[in-house]
Amino acid sequence: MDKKPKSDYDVIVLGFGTAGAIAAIAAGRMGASVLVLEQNTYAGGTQSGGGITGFYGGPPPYGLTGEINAKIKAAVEAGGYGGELEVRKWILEEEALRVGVDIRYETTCYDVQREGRRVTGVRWGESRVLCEAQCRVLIDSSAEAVACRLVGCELLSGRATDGLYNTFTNTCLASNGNRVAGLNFDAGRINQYDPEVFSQTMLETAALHVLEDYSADSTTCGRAGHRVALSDLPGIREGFHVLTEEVLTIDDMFMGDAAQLPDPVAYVFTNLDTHTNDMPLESELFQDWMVGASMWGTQLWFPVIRENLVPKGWIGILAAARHLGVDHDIGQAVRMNGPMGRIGEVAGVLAALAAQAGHGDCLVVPIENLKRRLEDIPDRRGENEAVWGLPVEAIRAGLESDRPGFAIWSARHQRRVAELRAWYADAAPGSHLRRHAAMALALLGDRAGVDELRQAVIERDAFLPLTSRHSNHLRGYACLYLLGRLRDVESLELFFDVLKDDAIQNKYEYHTHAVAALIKVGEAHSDKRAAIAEFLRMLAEDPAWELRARLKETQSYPRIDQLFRLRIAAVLRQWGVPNQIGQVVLAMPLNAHDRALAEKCLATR
Amino acid sequence: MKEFDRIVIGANFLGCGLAARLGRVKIIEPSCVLGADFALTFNSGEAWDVAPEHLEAAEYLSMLREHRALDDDGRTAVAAFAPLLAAWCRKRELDIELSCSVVAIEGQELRVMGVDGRKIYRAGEIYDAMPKTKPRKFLIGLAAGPAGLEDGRRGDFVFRQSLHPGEYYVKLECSGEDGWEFARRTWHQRWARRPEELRDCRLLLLGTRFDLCNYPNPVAALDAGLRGEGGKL
Ligand SMILES: Cc1cc2nc3c(=O)[nH]c(=O)nc-3n(C[C@H](O)[C@H](O)[C@H](O)COP(=O)(O)OP(=O)(O)OC[C@H]3O[C@@H](n4cnc5c(N)ncnc54)[C@H](O)[C@@H]3O)c2cc1C
Repeated sequence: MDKKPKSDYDVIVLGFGTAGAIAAIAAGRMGASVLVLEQNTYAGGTQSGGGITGFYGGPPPYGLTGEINAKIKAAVEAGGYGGELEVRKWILEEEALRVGVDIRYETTCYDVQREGRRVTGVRWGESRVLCEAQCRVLIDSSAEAVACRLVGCELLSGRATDGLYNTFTNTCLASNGNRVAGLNFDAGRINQYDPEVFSQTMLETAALHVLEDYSADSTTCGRAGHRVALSDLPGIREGFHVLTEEVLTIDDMFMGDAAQLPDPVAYVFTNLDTHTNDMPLESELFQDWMVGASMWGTQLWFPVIRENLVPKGWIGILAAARHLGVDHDIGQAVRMNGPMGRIGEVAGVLAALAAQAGHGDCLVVPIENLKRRLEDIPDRRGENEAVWGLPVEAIRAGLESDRPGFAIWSARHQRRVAELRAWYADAAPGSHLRRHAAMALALLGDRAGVDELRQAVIERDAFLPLTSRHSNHLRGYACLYLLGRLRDVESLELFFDVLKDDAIQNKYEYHTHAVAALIKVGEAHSDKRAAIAEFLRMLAEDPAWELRARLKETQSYPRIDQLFRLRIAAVLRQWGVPNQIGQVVLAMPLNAHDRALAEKCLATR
Repeated sequence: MKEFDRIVIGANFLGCGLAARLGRVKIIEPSCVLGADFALTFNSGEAWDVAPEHLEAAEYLSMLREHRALDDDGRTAVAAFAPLLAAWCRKRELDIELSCSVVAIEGQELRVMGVDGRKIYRAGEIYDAMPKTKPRKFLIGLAAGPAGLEDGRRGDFVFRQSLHPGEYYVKLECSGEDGWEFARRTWHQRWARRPEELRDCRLLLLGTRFDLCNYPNPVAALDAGLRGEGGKL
């Protein structure tokens, strides 16, 4: 029953998950000999055993993912199944077997063999025996860059301020009697590369699944039903990205830098779906989009570039799952199921072409061959114009409305400074048009609207834009963010006042944006740095300063001030200001993840 | 290389019990879930009326009852097994490393792959608590259907009601040799041909580990570990 694997393959796929299963099938369909190594016992990874079946909004998935998804839907509709999870495992596996893919479940990749900078094979453990096989191309679809790390590829890690990733979910599968799916909530942060922190966090957060009464149904994550099992995937949203020949960045998307990138071979449609609730620690351009314009729900076409899959300086290996070569910001978009399937397909086809050419060098595969195999899906980036290409009259109308996001972004994208200034000057103080024009100006680095921005902060402007279906940001603290973005030194007292206001509504957002604004002003204005440093030091050393934020889809409001205290400590260290912040944080009740961060902070003093 | 007094392979019920008994022990577990031998197999347990010998196993049994995960008829909610075992282990401050697989064993040295990469662990004593293979095993599914189906065999499947009315643990016997592809295909093919009385049943999930039936229920496995079962290598 248990056929032995061969000793040589065109393509080895490590990880039979959302991207990897499609990659294996795509390569198999191209006639390549394919071996899959999977640590678990099924295909589909997070999209099956991890309980996350859906494709986030947008058009139906395209290419091979679309074809297979149609088969899964048809099988579910034929009856006998409560949801797609089990059907997905089965159909992916059958599709792979049909094209001759060898699948080895419950295997552990242990070593990647190489000659110089060329990957030549894999060693893995199976039933406690070390096995090995050679390959022309190894596709690392482990989502955690397992093979890329073993081989020594360079890695990119988390956001620039503190290296952290999005929150994770200690995934539990739940049934409403008809259908089973993963509970999609936030359990906090995890460090999946540190064995102690990882294990402790998994054990700590298992407590989220301890119920008073397992026999009763309840409503969790907006769904009535009950838990049926923990998943054997930990529910991690983000981790390392591999430094590839090209790394797609948020600047490429929003600063018009994409024109310098190599030709895309495919496009994926998704939104920048962050789970971050400590937004002021994210990159400025990301906050421009999320906070400045409340664009969370806006979907865009993102290019898939062959060079995003090829680890820099390596031959015979591809990074094709959520750890592909994109930055932290873009990673929050392309990690979605639809994009992962498409990226898996690109990797499978590319690997097969490179292997069949005998050289395994994915960069020398003629791009036209690759594109032809990917059905030549036309360039979709033009459709993004609907978001940022509004004509000038539509921009003005949008700024006057309660859905100003596209107008703000179009004004920014088209650099409509003159129009914005004119509208700002003509509009009544406090009006939508004047405030939104001031916000768009600030996104362009123009200070013409600072009075209106300050007024919005003083008023604690409670207007909530309706641009996204949720996760919009109140205008009051969005304006606070923008004043920080302008490094507005004249707002210094205003920032201090916000932080002294303990009774402020939305204290968490106001306080954290004020901290970030102070840091920016301190960095830009050295004459003010000492005063800012002293204020921040006292704040971060004050045990009474407490900030809490809700974890998505839970009723849990854990403390988050420790992360901002540690951010302040890191900044003060750069500014050469001694402080006791690390000790203060360590004296707080902390989970395993945050304790490790605090210990690291103390160690680097 | 890291050195430990003792290593237990497997943070399943047996392994956790054994580690609690031994003290000063590192437990390594290939999956990210505790108690995978029951929690991931959908083995809902039987013979609950046999009292455990060890008080600490009895404590876990009480936890199941207190959290209403086990009723007087021996019906259980498998979803409770792992989280409650995590609480039990945390109380005892057991040193567990999850997602850490043994790739090869050479004398007192284990080649392992952890979340931080490959490494070598050395221990004075190594205990293997992973389930032993047997000539037969089961692939158990979780299905939803009309309430009130009696426990027992229906065609190729053996049904057992869960704690939730209209939800069943459904067992299919496999050969000990069967791999996942074969067992899964067999399950789906037989499910498509299930008896007419099960037409309205829907398969929700299959277990992601085979049930090797080493112990009748999680408490018995924990108790066995606490009594020192679990092979020393
Ligand atoms: C909680 C949560 C909610 C989400 N919600 C949505 C949503 O609503 N909509 C949406 O579109 N997307 C959602 N996503 C994102 C999306 O589901 C994932 O980003 C995507 O499935 C990742 O695909 P992947 O191929 O990178 O990884 P995976 O699908 O996780 O596949 C990785 C595979 O590699 C295997 N593997 C890992 N390490 C090894 C190893 N060492 N050896 C062998 N095999 C290994 C794993 O077992 C797994 O099978 C969500 C993600 C999470 C975690």
